[in-house]
Amino acid sequence: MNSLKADNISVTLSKTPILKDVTLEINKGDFVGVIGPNGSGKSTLLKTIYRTLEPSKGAIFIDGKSIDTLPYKSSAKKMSVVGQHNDHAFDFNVYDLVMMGRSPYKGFMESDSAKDHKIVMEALDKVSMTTYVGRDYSTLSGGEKQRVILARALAQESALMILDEPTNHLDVRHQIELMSVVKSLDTTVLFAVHDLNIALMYCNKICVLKDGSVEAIGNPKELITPKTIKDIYEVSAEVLELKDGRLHVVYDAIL
Amino acid sequence: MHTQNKKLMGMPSLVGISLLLFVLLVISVMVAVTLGTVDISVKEVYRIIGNKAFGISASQEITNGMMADIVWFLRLPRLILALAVGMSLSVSGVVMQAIVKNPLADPYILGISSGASLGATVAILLGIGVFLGDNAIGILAFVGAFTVSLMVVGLANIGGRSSSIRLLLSGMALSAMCSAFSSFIIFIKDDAEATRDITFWLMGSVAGASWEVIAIVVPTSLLMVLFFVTQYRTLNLMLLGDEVSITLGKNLQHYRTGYLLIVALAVGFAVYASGMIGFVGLVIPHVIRMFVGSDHKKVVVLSALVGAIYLVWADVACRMIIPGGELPIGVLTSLIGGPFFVFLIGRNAYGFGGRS
Repeated sequence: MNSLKADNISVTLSKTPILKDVTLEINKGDFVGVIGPNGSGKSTLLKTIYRTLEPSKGAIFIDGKSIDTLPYKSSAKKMSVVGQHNDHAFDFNVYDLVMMGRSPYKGFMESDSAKDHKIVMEALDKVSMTTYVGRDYSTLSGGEKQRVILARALAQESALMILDEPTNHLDVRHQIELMSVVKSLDTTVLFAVHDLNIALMYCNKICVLKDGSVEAIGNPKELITPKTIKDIYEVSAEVLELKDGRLHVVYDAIL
Repeated sequence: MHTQNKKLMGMPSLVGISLLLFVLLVISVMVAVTLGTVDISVKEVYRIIGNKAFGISASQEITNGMMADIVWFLRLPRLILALAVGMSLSVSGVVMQAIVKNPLADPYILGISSGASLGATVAILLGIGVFLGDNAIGILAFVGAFTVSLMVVGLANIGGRSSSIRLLLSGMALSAMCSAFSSFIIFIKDDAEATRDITFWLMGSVAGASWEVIAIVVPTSLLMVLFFVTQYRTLNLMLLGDEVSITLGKNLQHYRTGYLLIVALAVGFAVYASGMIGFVGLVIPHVIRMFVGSDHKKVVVLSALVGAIYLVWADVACRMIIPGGELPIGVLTSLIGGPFFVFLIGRNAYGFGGRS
C-alpha cells in the first residue's frame, strides 16, 4: 500500500450525522494521529476506514482503488487493526490468537504452514511475548493483551496499521512501551489518540476532528497549540518546549 | 519454545488423539452390541452381524431367529443412531455456541426445540400428518424445528444486520410463541393419554431406530460434521466478534446464516429420529474445551467423537438400568449431564470458554 484516502466521507448512524465530508490522506511512512474530543468522530472515521461502518457518502480508496470493490480478505492484507479493548467470551491461547492474523492468507481448508508458524513467532518476538506463547489470553494483564493483539496485527503483514485508541486502559509505562514497539516497526500508522503528549511523541501528522468535521490537518508541532486545544477541548493549556526541542502540553485546571 | 501448556497441542497429537477416540468409538459399538437385557453370547452376536452385513453363511437358526432380530433390527440400528445423533448434537452445540458467541447455547437454543415440540404436539394431538405414516411425529417435529429456525434467521435479518444478540432474542421470542401454542393445544384438547405421549416424546429416545431412519440420519450427520471440521477458522473468528473478524478478512453475516441453516437441518434430523436429547450439545463442547481450549480445529473433531461415544454408552445404560424396561435416553443424558455441569461450574479452573 502506498496511499489511503478517505475521500469526502460522511457517516450517519441512526439518523445522526457523525462524520461530515471528511477527507484525509495517508501516505506510506506516515504516522498520522487523529485527535479530537469524545464524540468528535475519531472512532467512526477509523471504523469506516477499516470497514466495520459504511459511509453514507464518499468512499475510501487504497492506492486509488475504492475499498468497496475489494473483498474483505484483500483489505485485511492491506491494513490491520489494534482496537481499544479486546476481551472475548471465549478464551484462546496466545499462539492461536496470533495465528488468526494469518486468516486473510488462508484459503478453504488450507492449514497453517511452517511459514505461518515462523511469522507468528517473529511477531511475538517483536512485541517481546515469545515466552507467553502457550498462555491463555484472558490470564494476561492489559498491557500484555494489547501486545498480543499487536502481534496478531503484525502477523497480517499489512502495510498500514490502524490503532483505535489501543492505549486507553494502559498505564504510562505500558502506553509508551506499546507505542515504542509500533514506532520501531517502521510501518504506516493511523492512530486515534486522546493523549496529546503521546501524539506529540510519535506522530508526524495530525488530523484534528471536531463535531465530525476536520478542523485542521498538519504538523503536530504547528497544530497542537494552546489555541487549538482551547478550540476543540475547551480547556486552557500551555505548550512548553523542553531544552531538547520536545513539546509538552500542560493543562490548566477548570475552575 | 515453551510447551508448559497442554493447549499448545500440535497437529500430530490432534490426529493421534482423534484416531485413538475413533478406535475407542468402534470398540464401544462392538462391545455395546453384545450388551442387553436379552442374553445373547458374543459369538452369536457376531455371527448374526457377519451374516447380515457381509453375507457370511450361518445356520438358519441364527440368521432368522428372534436373536437375529434383536441384534440386527433393534440393537445395532439404535447404537448407530445414538452414535450419529451424539456426533450431530455435539457439533451442533459447538457451532451454535460460536454463532451466538455465548457459551450457554445448545443445539436447541434458537427455537429449534420449541418448534420441534409444537410439531410433535400438532401431530399427536391434532392428528395432522397421519398420511405421513408411522413417523408422522418425527416428520412434523422436523418441519417445526426447521421452520422455526428459518423464521429466527429471517427475523434476525430484518432491517439490516443480524447479530448474535438479535439471533438470541429472535430465538427466545419465537420459542415463547411456539411453547404457548403447544400449551394452548394441549389445554384445549385435554387428552391425558396424548399429553403423556408428548411428554415421552420430549424425553428423547433412540428406540425408534431402523435402518431406514439411519439411512437418512447417518449421512447427513457425517456430512455436517465433515463440513464444520473444515470451517474451524471461521468458527474461531466468530468467537472474536463481527468487527474483529472483518479486520481479519471475513464478514460473518452470511456465514452465520448458512451455518445456522445447516445446524437446523442436522438437529431437525436428530429430532426426527430421536426426539429431544438434552444436555449432550451443551456439555460435550465444554468438556472438550476444558481439555484443549477454544480452538475449533480441535474442538469440532473431538466433540464429534466424544459425543458419539457418550451417546452409545448412554444408550447401553438406558437398556440395562431398568430390568425389563427402558429409560428414555434424554432423561439419562440430563441426569448425567446436569450434575456434571454443576461440577464444571464448581471448578474454578474452567471458565466456560472464558475465564472469570
